[in-house]
Amino acid sequence: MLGRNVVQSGPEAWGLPQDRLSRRARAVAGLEIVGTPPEERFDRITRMARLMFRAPIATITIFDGDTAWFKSADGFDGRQAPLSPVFCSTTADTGERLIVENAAEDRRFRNLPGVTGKAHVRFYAGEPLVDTHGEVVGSFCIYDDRPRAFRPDELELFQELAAWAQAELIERTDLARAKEVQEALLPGRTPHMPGYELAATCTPSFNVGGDYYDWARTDYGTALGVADVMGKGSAAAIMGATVRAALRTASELTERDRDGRYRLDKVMSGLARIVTGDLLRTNIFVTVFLAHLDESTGRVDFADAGHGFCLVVAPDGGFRRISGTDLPLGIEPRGSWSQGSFTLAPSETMLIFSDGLFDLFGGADDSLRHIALLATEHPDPNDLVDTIAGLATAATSVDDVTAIVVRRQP
Amino acid sequence: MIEFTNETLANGVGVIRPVGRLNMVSAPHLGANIDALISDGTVRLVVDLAGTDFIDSSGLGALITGLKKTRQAGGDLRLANPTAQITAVLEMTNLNRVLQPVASVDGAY
Repeated sequence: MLGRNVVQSGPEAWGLPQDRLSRRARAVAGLEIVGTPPEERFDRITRMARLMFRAPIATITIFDGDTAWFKSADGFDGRQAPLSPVFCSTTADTGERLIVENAAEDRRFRNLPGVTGKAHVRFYAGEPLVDTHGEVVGSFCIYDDRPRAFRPDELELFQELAAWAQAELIERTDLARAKEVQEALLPGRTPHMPGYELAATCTPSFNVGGDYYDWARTDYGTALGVADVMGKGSAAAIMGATVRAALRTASELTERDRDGRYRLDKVMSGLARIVTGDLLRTNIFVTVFLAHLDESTGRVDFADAGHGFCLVVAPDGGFRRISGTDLPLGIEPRGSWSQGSFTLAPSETMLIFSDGLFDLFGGADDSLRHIALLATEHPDPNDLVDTIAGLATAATSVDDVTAIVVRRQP
Repeated sequence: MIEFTNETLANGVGVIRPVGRLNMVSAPHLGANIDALISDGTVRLVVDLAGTDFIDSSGLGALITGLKKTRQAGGDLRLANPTAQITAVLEMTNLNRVLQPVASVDGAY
């Protein structure tokens, strides 16, 4: 796809060196924007431009090979046009701002169809839009059917709007990539747990968030973890990735007890030793719930660093909350964390979730009852996490919503 | 969405009353109020939560950050009149161990 336009476009017709074209093609492909539906955050800019400049057309144009593709076009029907017979090709070619005050009197443009035809373009202003590497990927354009000139304050305004369009373009790419990376950091395939079913969801309130879950098969069961970094968005996501790596490290390095069992209190303390300095310095705290399920007996060992959101739900809707009394990580320079255990009985479901789900149900004591009811109504863990993810999306939750669900088969 | 009425008591204790919801949107305002009092030299603070309808992890974060900053400045930050929802959230996160509610604003120090 990347090469197709380049080959067909006949770059020599534009007088552009091939390597520059392919650099642009790569840059445009990297934006992952061509073909996406209209978005208000771009349409707002072109609409404002039209209103402020009292001009009939404003566009945010992406240079997709030999095509001018409009991410937003206000006052103009159509999503794309051939690049060569329009003004933008000059912006694409030179990478510099182009202002044509009266196209009918400009030898370079007076024969363009847009000038001679019905559109009757006389004035054109185009500002190149560049990506994070400085590659020209498109232009911000204003068209008028009357000759005009920008006053200095109008030129300034035009540049401001173009800078805004460029920022939106870059942010989209950066965040979309960050989101992909964060999703890839969640564990992949659900492990096969004989006698149990497992499912999980993690729905950030923004593109990225501060929640995550992790799991690993062990020689006698499955280890599970949920962490919730205080705050949302990119800052929380950076700390979430740090905690994830630290937890995996602490799990690897922590010695087991004499029976060969994991000691989650020691794992938690190890995690705290690695991340507390970073957390204190950044004024961020994180709640963590660790569990290990011994599949042969249903025994669950757990350690709770201020997380507090683990429910065991019976088929009749009865439930109990599993929690410890230890603090989240990042509150105090030193601390200790303890381990508890309980048994997950046949037909019981264990839910470990983040406060985003708790807040979805009102964020008070009563919420736990609602969550337990939800688990009773959706005994299949996959069905339950799909329902939770659906609620998080529908309610446009202001917090990240994460849940791990384990059901012991009858 | 949220309003703050602040006052300084005769004994020099600063009282912050957030009225509304303490969430991601409003938590930074609480932080700014706390910072302003500390930079004015008021380091013994009470956050009166009687009018705070709801708190989430961002709100808790602002309180914890405030607690650390006041302690670094030689003071403290205490909570008064938490609603049932706030008490529940403090208990679930075990943060009631460090943010222990006091009986009243006047008796906070």
